[in-house]
Amino acid sequence: MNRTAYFFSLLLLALAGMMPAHADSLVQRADSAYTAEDYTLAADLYRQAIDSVGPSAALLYNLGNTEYRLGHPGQAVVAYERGLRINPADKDMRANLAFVNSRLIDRPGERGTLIGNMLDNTAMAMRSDAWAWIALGAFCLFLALAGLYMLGGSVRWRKVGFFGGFAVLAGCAVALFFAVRGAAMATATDRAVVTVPSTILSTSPREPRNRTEEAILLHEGTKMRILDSVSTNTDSVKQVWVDVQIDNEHRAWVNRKAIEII
Amino acid sequence: MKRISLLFTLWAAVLAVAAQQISFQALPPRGAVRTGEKFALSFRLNNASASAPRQPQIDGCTFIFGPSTSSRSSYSVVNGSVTQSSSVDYTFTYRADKEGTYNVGAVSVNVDGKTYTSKPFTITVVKGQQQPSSQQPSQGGYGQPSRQAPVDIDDISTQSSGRAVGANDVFVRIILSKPSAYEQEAIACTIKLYTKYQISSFMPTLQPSFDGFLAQEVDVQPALNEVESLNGQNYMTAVLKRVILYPQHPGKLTINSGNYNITVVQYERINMGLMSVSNPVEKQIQVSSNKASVDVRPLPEPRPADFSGAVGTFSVDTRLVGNNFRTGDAASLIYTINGTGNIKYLKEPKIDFPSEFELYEPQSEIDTRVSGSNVTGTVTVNYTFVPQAVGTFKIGGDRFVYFNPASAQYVTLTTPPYDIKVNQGNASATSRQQIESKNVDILHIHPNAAAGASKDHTPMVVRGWYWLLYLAALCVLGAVVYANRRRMRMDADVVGTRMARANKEARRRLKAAAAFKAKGDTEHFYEAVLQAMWGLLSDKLNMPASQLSRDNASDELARYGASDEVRQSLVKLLDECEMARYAPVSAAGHLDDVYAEAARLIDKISSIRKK
Repeated sequence: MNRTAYFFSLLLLALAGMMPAHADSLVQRADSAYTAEDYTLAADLYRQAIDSVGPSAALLYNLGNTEYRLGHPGQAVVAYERGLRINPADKDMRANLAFVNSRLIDRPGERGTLIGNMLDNTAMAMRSDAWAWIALGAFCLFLALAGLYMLGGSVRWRKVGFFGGFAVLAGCAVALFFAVRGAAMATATDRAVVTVPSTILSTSPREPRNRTEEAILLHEGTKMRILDSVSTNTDSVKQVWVDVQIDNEHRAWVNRKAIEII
Repeated sequence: MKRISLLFTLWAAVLAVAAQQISFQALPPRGAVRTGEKFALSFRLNNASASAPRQPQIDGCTFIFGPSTSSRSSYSVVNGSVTQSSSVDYTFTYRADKEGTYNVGAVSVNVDGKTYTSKPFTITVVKGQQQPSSQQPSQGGYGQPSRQAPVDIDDISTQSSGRAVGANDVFVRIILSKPSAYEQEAIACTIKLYTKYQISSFMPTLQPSFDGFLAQEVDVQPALNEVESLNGQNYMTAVLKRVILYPQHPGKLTINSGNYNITVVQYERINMGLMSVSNPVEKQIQVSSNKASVDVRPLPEPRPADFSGAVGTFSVDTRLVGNNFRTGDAASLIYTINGTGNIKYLKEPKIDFPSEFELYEPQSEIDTRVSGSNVTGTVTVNYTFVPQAVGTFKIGGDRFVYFNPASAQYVTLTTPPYDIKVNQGNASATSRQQIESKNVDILHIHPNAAAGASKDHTPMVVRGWYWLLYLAALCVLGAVVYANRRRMRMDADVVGTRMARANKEARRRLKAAAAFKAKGDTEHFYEAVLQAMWGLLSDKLNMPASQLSRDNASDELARYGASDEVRQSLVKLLDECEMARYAPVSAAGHLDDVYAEAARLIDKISSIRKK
């Protein structure tokens, strides 16, 4: 018993030691494949690295670049968006996502509200964890000032403690709000991107039967928000149709196979 | 002119008078005779008249009719002298049946009992068009022949108005120069009219359509001026149209037939008793041309990426006009494509210019001519550019890729790039330039991408431990506040503090005593024990040590509720220690007893509380 446990712990240690090294070599090979313009191989290797050690912002960034070079803007947008969930403050990622978006065929209209977008942008200025640490720090400062108020000797210090405490508590609440909002964006499961060259959206959750049921023609790379999803069984073929909001004015049903959820 | 002809006439007359004698000569047909053709043999008798000679027999030729006689006479008076001459031509018509060289024997006539003989000669019959002898027209027959002879272009007797104009007599053919071609390869298409009749009017009602082709028409003047033999029959032909075709897509492409309204001339034979007269009659017929199709092969795959679409044989050349370039001054690059093929439909090559150059729309000049079944020519493209920035630039350097159908291969021609140096021009001497990005692309990949990789990127705010940190911070504050409160309360209660500290102080002193005990320093040991006890009493009873004595300490302890046993033991211990201090007892066991007793009493006294 004791021996087996020992053996297993040894094995675990060895695996833990080996895995990052393996991933590092994968990434190095992928980088050189990218530089040598063998993008198919590079994409494959980046995916293997992500499978073995999990994603990092930089891995997803590199994968997005590779997919763009392969002529898959949809997959590139998916990779960049996933990378931005890990690190929304990555400037290079933002630049490349904006670049790829500017090359897409579809130009979506306005999305969301002015204030909502402003709040989102502020939340995306930092990682959610950074906001969380700021909130925690502000809370500790608040406690310190509360302590000063309660235990402070002179009236002046007690005043500092009282008013400062409230200000810092408000700051803590704001930081916490952005941390939660950022976390919600980073974990949202209702964002998707078109990954086929083009798809025709339907007015109802099924394949358009005639011209009057065709809603919108969308092209690769367009981002959308999922509102609802319906499974249908037609001719024993299971199909999932998803109600999506493309921008504030366009909403229709899209085949689940045409999109990839970020 | 008139004078000269007059002179000639006079001279001829003088000769004739001089040769005022009878002669007989043969006039053989000029040149070779073709089989199937009719030809005439004439014999001329000068200055006499005689009965017609017998026709000569010619091997390989059939005598048709004759002799037909024509006579001339001339009579002239020159300077009073009269000159007279006459001649009679006897013409026999034959048809050549077989090729070969045949002798025509001497023919003789009898003039007033005197015989004149012509010289024998030879005629040559060459191969002409086929005409079986059985279909010859009945000799001299004016009635309807039992079987119609084929229409002959030279024989109006076969062009009678009664007969229908057959499809073999008048037709239009579409002739292609090759039955199969590559896409964009030139094909010459000729539309030709074949006829055995005279044509008086010609009107196309439906032109052939060249669907799937680009057609370049060649100027022709239709004229019935050529005799051509087709399927063994002679036709007069006229080229109606000549077009160079470029097939635009692979597959079988067909040129549809055209329709034509044609008026032909036939001859009506009017019998006027002894002779008959041929009177032209017009007849309108409709003729359709044949359909022609061509197999178009696609250009071989894979096509080179920069294939220009040119098919044929070409050569290219570029020329830079001038060698001194200044900003704001226009200059030009001249690109010349020379060759044979679809040159007229070439796209202008895209010449690579840096974005610092302002470009004008390139001017092309196409100069082509048809040669045989293809088009040869030159395309000259003039790229005018105006450099806008000072610097050294590379311009031009194009690859021209064309397909050569003869070798079925793609050929790449390259033109060299020119390095040009642009100097500051006068026009823009003071203009400064904004820095501009010519192109943007995605940013490059990041190195060490695996850093920070993790399967779990759950944000902190949704983890429990994060919120536990808040709780912990709150607890810390609570503890600090609690501790502070407690300290303040104790600070406020000095006696309580002293009492609370009494036991701790006493034990500390007793520990010092234990140290002396271990060293065997009895004097200091007892002193330490006494200090411990008095200190304890002082703290516990809240009295200064100076005011304490054995008795009042015992009394005070009684007030605090200490038992008699404790009080007596305390007094006893104090006494013992005082005594031992000044009269040391050197009993080893005694020290231990005293120590144990002191410790017991400290415990007891500490535990009592003021009532």
